[in-house]
Amino acid sequence: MSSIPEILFRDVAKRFRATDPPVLQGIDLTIERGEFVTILGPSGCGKSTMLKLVAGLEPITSGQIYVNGLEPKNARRLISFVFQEATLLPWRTVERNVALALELEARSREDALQTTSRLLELVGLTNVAQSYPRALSGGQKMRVSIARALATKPRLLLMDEPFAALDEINRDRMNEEILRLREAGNWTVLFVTHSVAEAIFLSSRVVILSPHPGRIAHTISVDLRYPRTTTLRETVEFDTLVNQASRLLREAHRA
Amino acid sequence: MKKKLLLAVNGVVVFVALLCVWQAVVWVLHIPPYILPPAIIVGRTIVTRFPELWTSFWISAEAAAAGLLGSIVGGLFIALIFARLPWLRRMLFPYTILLQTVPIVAIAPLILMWAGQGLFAVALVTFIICLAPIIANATQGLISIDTNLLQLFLMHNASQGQILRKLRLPHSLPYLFVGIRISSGIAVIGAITGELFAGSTRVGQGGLGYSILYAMAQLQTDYLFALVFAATILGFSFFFIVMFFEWLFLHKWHESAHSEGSES
Repeated sequence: MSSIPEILFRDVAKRFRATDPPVLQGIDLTIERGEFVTILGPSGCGKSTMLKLVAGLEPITSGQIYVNGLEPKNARRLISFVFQEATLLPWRTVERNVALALELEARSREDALQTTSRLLELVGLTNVAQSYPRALSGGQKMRVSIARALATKPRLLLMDEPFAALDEINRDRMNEEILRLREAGNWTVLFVTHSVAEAIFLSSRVVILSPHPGRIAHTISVDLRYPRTTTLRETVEFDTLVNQASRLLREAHRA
Repeated sequence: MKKKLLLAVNGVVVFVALLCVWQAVVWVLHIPPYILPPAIIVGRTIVTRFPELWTSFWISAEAAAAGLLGSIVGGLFIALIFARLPWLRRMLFPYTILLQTVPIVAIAPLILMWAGQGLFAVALVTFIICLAPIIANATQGLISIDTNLLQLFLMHNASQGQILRKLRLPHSLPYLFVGIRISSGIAVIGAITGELFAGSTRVGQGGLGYSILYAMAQLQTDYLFALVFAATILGFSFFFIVMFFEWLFLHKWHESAHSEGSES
């Protein structure tokens, strides 16, 4: 393991306008390679903004962020971003949506097609490869979005409430699936959600943000062994952690 | 399928009924044929003077098509510049609305004075009135891109050219077609208006607009009706051709094509 952290926040603050109150303030956070860290907090506490800062999609107001020792903008080829909505191109088939990132990075068509078909198999969408997004369910669309993100073989995945629009059964299923995919990929994940159960199930570490301005209120280490399966949700340890996180979240929200 | 057949039968029945009412009115009220010729006479005129009618039809069709195609190319080009340069868009966009609000009848004589009397001048009149809807809709399509989609492209270090080709242009296609559909209707009006002022664009022959003036001067009311009929057919043809292309490009993926299909 290298000594350079995968993501480093050093006293980061963010304001959208100079006259506005800060959205984020005093964020110090170190994420090591291979960790699955979830940022948990109520809506509007700056969770998504943290991801945008790491991706270099928003400028930092003060402080520093390094991704594998690089400025966020220069680290983009290491990163894939999964948005809250599936953000598919409706005029492209599923297959060509997955190939998009590879096309933009000017890979050969053959290479792109090979990678694409392997990924579609991985997320179980081979049978709809030639369909247009219009014909897909919410869960299927999100699978396409994840396959597209994995196509460029990222080492860091930024996921902004990717399953928020899904019903609970589909969300649980996608949670299991993302962990299964990670076993093969070994990527670092920075995940954003407002669901406590989702955060505990997925993460090795949960960071709780308090709002106005967004600060790190608590950090919970989730010492549950991977691979995690659905039976984990029925264990006492899981329940205890969910309850603990819920309590801390409520406190953070009140403070 | 059965529903569609019923719709077609319905259309034909209404059309025939209208012809019968027309014929009956002329008979019962003894209207002289130079005021309102009976439907049968108009029908006969269409058949006997078909070659002239057909020639006029094609002359107008050429001018309207040239003007419309020109406005699609020109409008898209201007929309691309507007999408690229927001300050220029803010400065000039109000003037594109002006293009639409100036009555074409008022400026057609000016255009013809400057551009001469040929097919080019008539196409130019058409071009001018077709331009505004294309610019407005294409610009809207090029700039109303979901922020997340743009950020997705940025995350993969896409160039401006890639963003244009793979995101902005395909995204603007349904919008562009809305503009083309509006313009296809007014293209025929533009061509006929132009011809009213341009006179004959060929020796001894002219488009529908020219022939309308000519038939009016000669009190050939039956031929006037035939020309109106031809102009209507021309308008419909443009509309359906555009609809066909819209279907061709959009039906696989776009919601509008889908919902129209399920409505009928």
